[in-house]
Amino acid sequence: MRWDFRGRDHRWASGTYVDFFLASGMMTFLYIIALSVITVTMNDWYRDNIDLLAHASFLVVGFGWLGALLMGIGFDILPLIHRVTAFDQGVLKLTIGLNISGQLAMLLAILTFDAAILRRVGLYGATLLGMQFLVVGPSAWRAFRGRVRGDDPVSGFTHTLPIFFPLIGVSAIVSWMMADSDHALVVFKAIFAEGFWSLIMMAILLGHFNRRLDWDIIPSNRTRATFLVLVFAVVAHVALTWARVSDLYVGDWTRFSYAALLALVFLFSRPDKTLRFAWFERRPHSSLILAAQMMIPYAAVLATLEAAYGEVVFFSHYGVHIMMLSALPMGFWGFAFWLHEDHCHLDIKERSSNRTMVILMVIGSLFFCWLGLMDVGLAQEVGWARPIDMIVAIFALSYPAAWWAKEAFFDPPEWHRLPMYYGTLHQEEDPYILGEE
Amino acid sequence: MRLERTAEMWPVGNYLEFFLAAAFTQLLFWILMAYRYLSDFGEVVDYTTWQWSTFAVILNCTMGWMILVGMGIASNLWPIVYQNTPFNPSIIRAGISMNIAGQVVVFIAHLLLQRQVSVADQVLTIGVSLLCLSAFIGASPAWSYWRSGDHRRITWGWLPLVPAGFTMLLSLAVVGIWLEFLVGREFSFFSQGMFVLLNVDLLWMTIGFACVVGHLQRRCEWPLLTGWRGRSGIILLVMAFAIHTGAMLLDHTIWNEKWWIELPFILPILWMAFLLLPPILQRIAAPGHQVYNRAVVAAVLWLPIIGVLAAWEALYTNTGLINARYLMLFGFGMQAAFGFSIWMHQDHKHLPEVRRRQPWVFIICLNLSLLVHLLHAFAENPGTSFKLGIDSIYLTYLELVTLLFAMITWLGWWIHEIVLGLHDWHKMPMFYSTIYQTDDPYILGEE
Repeated sequence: MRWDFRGRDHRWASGTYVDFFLASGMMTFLYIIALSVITVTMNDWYRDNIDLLAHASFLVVGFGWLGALLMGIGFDILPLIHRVTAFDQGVLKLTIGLNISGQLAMLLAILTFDAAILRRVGLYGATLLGMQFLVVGPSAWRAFRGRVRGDDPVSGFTHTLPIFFPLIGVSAIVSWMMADSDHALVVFKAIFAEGFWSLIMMAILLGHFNRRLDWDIIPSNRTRATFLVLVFAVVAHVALTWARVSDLYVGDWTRFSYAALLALVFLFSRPDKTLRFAWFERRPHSSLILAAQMMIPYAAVLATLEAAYGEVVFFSHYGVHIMMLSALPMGFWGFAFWLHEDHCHLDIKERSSNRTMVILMVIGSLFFCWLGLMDVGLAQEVGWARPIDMIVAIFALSYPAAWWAKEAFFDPPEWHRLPMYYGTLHQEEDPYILGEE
Repeated sequence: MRLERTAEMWPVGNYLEFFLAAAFTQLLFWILMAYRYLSDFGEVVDYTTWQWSTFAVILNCTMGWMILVGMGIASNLWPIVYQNTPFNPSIIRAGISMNIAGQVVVFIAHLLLQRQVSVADQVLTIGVSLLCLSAFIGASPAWSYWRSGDHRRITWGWLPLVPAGFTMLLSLAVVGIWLEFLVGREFSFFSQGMFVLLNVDLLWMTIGFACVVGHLQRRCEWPLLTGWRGRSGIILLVMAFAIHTGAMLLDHTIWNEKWWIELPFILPILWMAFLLLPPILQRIAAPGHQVYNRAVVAAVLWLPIIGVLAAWEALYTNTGLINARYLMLFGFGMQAAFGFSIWMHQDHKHLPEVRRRQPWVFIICLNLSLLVHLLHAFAENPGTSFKLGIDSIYLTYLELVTLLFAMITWLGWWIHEIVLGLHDWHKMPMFYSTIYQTDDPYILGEE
């Protein structure tokens, strides 16, 4: 057992995820309702302010309810993995408070249906959402310094990425201040929505398949190299995007940089192995995370089509939306459900498949793809596609809130503060070395 | 003594960070004020921008460096007097860093205000958000103390929680007021009233009162709120605050034209003076050497003067009690808090009370500046026949120079203490750490 910087058992934070996941589920529901109201009833206003709304939406999704899941998972299992708790309860309270209040401020600003007010009042929301990433900065740095060194199946992703959180937080605030500048918006999206979340996607896949299920999709001694290659790819993508918006000629092929980044993430996550283990060998796994992995090439294809045929020159609209609103929520919720079931000490063969959410997400994504193809002129315009897509999205993204409500209030299972796998991660099988006798 | 709680005393001694941050950032504030004054700010920018700026500057002062002193005192003493620590180190770090960041951001916004207004107003919004967040986070432990009933452990334990409650309320109100300004591009008359009421009147009057009672009654063990003063006296004070609050809200809604509507401001001021001054003067006049912080007593001495000035302003001028509020903020609230903080620091140095150094230069300069302001306020008003016979500009310079000197002295005091004066510093202060110790721990007296 290790002790944290205040002399307590490093496992005290285990089980703190519940508040974060519950908050995320509820805020996801509120978000999708707000989005539906805007797209269905205020369609003209929505189209007129699409860039600003998309930016607000990125902040609510990425820094808001996905951010809450990211924090909840991190606070819960990283102390168990690295055997160091570099934060205290104050950080947990601050983070969740800033997260919820930031999302509410941003959603209220959106629901004023006034672009000028949204821009001014939304700054409150952006500041609160950005501050939560700043608040965890010192803890991330302490955790980085106190991590367990050696081969880690998710090496690089779990301890190096968080030390950049303060930069990400500041970028959220600055990007909102510069929301009038296309240049700033595009670069922010390249850094945050496209680059950062691609790395997080990879972390989820490795965390589940490589660490939790021990499928060894990437050998532990190569994960650091994988991380570095992907970071390089993200930097290259951001640099190419910046060069493109700055009118520096770098060739038409640079429009495909996001699709290339997604393709790289997909290939590095070894779909051949995951599909073989999941489908042919029928090993227990999270269907949501596998579906999320399969969404990556789908998003890459959309990004490619947009780059080839669309009018959107600077950034992929549909590709990044598939990642942010389909692949990442599925990946995160899959991880969250699995983690909760670990806390319930449920046998991995008896776990819920969450197929309803997978099916709804896939249908919603197909409709969304159709909308994308209509936009680039590759499919016929159909008026009912958008409302249908919204209805499916409402059901799909309400699923986590309903699931959590059931788990928390209606049918609470037997729950343990220490999860079944992570809680024993560093326990030696033969602590007294009796096997050598 | 409650030994099981001693592990929870980690925040004790943390006040140095707060006070040092306050001492440095107040310098930034005065530079900002000088910049506004020297650049004829009010004439260069439009009225809306001037309103933005004035609101942010007032907030920068009261919820910036001044509240840092209050937060430092609270985080240092509350764990000892309430025997509980319902907050973590990250709360303290977040409170300080957000406060400093907020003040710096407000300063930067002012550098942009004359050139890029659209960027500056966004930067100001971030600064105001940070200041509100910082104050809310810093005051939030008060809610935990209140809920867990820790304030009942000690006489008048609820008193320091009152200003903390006002701080939380003010943070939320400022967010609302700023939102209103963001949407409508102007502060409504009602919002202005709410801001002044919460930020200046209620918050800093109660901070001053809590510091005076905390220092003289608890620390120096003078019998201030005893007998009728501690029973009906306090109830009447609460009523005076309630009447003033009601009058202020009516003033800013439907009864603005009533000639007497500003008069209730003097009720809590004069009643506090009536409660505190007689026992204080009696104690000072009593034979023997009395030990106390002179700044705290000077703060109380300002109360009747502020009351008279407020009555005069309410009846004969239309200044909106600006001068009375200025004196109340700096003369009573800030002076009492600063005096309290110096004595508390000397407690950490375990200095015998009779040997304690008084911050005379700070006290003289600050009170001279306030006195000049008072004379200036009377002399400048066209409704009075009182004339000083000195050019008004010289009075302004004298007031500003003495105030600046007082604040530099305050910074110098803390730099001197932290750089040269910590050799005899103790984490546990000399008086507070023993307030739960019984005189006869082994109950030998009963044998």
